[in-house]
Amino acid sequence: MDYGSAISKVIPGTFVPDIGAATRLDESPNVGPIPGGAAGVAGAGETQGVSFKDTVKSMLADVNDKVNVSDQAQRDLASGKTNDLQKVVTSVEEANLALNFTMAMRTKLLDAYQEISRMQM
Amino acid sequence: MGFYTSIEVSATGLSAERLAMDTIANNIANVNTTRTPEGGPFKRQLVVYAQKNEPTQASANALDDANDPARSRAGVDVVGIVKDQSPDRLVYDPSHPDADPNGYVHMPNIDIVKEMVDMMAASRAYEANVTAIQESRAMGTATLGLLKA
Amino acid sequence: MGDISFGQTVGMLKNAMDGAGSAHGVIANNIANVNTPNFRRSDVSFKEALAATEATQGDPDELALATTSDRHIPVGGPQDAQPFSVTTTVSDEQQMRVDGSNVDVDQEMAKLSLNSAYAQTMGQLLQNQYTRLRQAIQG
Repeated sequence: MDYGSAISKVIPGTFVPDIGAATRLDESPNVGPIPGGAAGVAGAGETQGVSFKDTVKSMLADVNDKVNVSDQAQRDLASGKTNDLQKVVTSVEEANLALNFTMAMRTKLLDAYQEISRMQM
Repeated sequence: MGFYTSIEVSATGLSAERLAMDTIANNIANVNTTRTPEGGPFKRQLVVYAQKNEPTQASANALDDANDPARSRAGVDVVGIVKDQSPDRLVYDPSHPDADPNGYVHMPNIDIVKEMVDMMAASRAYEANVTAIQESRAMGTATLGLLKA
Repeated sequence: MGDISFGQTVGMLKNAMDGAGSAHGVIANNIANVNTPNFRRSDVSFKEALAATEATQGDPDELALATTSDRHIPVGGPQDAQPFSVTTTVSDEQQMRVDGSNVDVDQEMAKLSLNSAYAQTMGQLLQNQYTRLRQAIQG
């Protein structure tokens, strides 16, 4: 299977250029250092692209931000500091969706990681 | 403007229309009153409405308040109940105890038909304010419905 | 730190519903006494107390007044959370009717509607908080 495209699907933002050429060691006369990424099986975090760990951390930080903003808006509505029901409801919905999205992404990433780690090499 | 504040605005309308109803009912009840403490017959009373200038709460969006120098969202206020100064209705009845030397009795300047029409108008305005409150509630419930699904 | 503050918001929403419940009782009492001669209506306020239950960080550019005794009034700086309480006051204002009662039934009905909308909103938000917690637990 095409290793390069499998990795770039699992790690968003990583593009391993032309790894097909690097694997054809016996055919290519100029075998230089493998362009960054081939050594980084998903999860090792040593690739030049954005790693699995950083992606998950940034998504969790974003969800945390959205939840904090929505909680503050709910507290303001309860104590009467604001009267804007629409803003509170939309911020609550966005926080919910961000949490659902992050959890779905985490599930898919874990599944992909497990699938790749089970691959025979 | 949040739906909470619009309920308070409608409430000012309800109070104003109820006061108008009380005044009209008083006029109708006193349609034949020829003696009052101030002397002379009963004078028709009418209600003076004015737009309220200061809302009780700030709008949801601070910019809305800044762009609204006339404060057009505060509701209505009744600033006074004044007497109608149009001339009395003169009825010729020399046998009446309050007849003047010419035999005319000064009756109140109240036209029952006009009072009935005013009463219908006040009643309809009251219902309209009640509907406005119900619609505010419905909007709020619909907004909250976003959280359910 | 990046703590998700479920605890404070859930507590505040619960207090909000309690406050709305007390307010409902007071307003219903006012409405029930609409024809009682010489009745004085009561007002209830809980939103300021609710705002005070939130411990604030204070403005970082502001200096707090130093207080050395319990009776000094704290101004500026971070505020501690105060326990929640509902205040009911008897109102002596005008609008006297012939029978001496100062209840305006329209205003009381509008307050009832407002209070009920507020309680419904708080309930919905609280339910959402619990659902989110449950989702996070069940993964």
